[in-house]
Amino acid sequence: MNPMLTLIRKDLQLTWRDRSNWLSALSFACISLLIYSFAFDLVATDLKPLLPGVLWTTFLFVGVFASSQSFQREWDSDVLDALMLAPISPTAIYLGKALTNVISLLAIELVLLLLSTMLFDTAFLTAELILVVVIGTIGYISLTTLLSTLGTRARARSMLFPVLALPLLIPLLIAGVRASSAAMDEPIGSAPWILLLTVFAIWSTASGLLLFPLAVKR
Amino acid sequence: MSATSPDIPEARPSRLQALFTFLLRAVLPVYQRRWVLLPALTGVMMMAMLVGAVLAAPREVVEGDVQRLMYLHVPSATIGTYFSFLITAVASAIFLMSRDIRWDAVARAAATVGVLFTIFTLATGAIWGKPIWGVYWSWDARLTSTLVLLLIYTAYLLARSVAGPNDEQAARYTAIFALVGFLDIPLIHFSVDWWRTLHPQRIIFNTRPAVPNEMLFVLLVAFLAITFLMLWLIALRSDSEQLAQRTDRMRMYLDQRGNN
Amino acid sequence: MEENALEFLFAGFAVFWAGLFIYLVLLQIRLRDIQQEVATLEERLTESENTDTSYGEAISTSESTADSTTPNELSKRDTTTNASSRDA
Repeated sequence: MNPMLTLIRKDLQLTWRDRSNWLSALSFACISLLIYSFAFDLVATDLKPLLPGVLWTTFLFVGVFASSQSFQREWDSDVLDALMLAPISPTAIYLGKALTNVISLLAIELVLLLLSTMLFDTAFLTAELILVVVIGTIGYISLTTLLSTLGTRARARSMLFPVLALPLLIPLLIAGVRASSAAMDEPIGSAPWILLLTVFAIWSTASGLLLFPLAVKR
Repeated sequence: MSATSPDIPEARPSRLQALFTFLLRAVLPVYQRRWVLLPALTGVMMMAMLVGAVLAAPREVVEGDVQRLMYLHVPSATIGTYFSFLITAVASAIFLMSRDIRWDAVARAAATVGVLFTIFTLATGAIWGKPIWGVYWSWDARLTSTLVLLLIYTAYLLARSVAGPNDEQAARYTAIFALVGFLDIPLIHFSVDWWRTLHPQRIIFNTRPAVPNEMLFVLLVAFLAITFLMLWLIALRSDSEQLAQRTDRMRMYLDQRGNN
Repeated sequence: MEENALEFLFAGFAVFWAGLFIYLVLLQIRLRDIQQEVATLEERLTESENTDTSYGEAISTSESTADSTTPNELSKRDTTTNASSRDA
């Protein structure tokens, strides 16, 4: 059997079994959505120009929050060293972890989109918007998965991780917000935002694949 | 690598090696005399730049005397910032390949100096912007991407500084971060450019008349001055970081001996 | 605008030079810290080397000439044990 698929299945099983992690991520996302609606009074004003920004900041914060822990279990139980000794390429380990993170994050984002469809009475579950969300999620998860190895051993990791990850994700945030606005028929500039989003996703996946082996090699 | 033709792998490294030794022979004498050459060149060029910028260069017609800040601002932004970060990325790549911790010191030094010049760029730009634009800061594309650059490299320095000078793992991780950050620069540039310049509230730069030759000459002097200053600062910093690494190694050695 | 502009020009150059100066001072402080550490490490090194060699000498001499240990060597050994106990 393909070792990568085994890894993904193992990770998904563990994620499913250890519910506290993704449940806290999900509730963090819901709370931040509520906080946005209180802070900007999202009920009274014209929502449409604001909503993409609200959604994408929530996605990014949840993504950083959730994927900063991605190798924590491996470090805690010294499994990563064993994995490195096993005849699996580090690329497969990286891809497995990134795919697991993408799947769990997409599940959380789907719930969020459903929730905001009901809360804000706007159609979020359109094919175009979901495409934008999927591409964007692949883009930022492949980068945060790479960077999560970065913080795993350093001290003050939990504080540092967002500081490291978020500036690198600014292009993705801009492109994601603009592309979502375009998908919601908002008047924005004519720049090819989906293209930029795709380029970012390809770039971050490529750099993850190339640099992850260097990050965990001993 | 190719088992069928054993001659070619023999020939290639030797040619590379020849090139390498040639380069080394050309660069090494200059590198060894860096503590004589760099301060002298930097001092002379900085003085020349100061005189040129404040006294010799003609007064700009539209903007007046504030325009003289350009001679600090433009070289700081191009050479001081981008070239330093390029050095950081190259040194990080060499560190990742060679595992020689001294390259990590070079990368850190270049990032520190780059952050310093980014702050200079933003500060002189803001001070220039107040009388010309009427505001210190505008969310213009170039300003914004420079700010993002500052955030990335301060994060890099922060992440590197929480670990010890000889922490090989932390050095490797931050080297990877430096590479990713450097490759992120074009994406940041494009995204911020499209974000701002395609936006209605666009700041229109003054369309300048053709730049006189005296100005170009002073600008050239300023470029050289900032280049030498940057190289000198990086050399100072990387040597002191390497000193810190050696001191740290010595202390670890002594601690180990003390425990035995 | 005129006077203002000159003020801004001055401010710009002042920020640059002050920043450079502050940076160099900070670097100097860092170098002095490293220098101090090198000094203390050197002290420790010479100390441990002295004690180590004298300890080795004392053992070898005591092995070869077990009963004719000079008072000088005895006192050396005392200092060694003292130093090692203080280190530990």
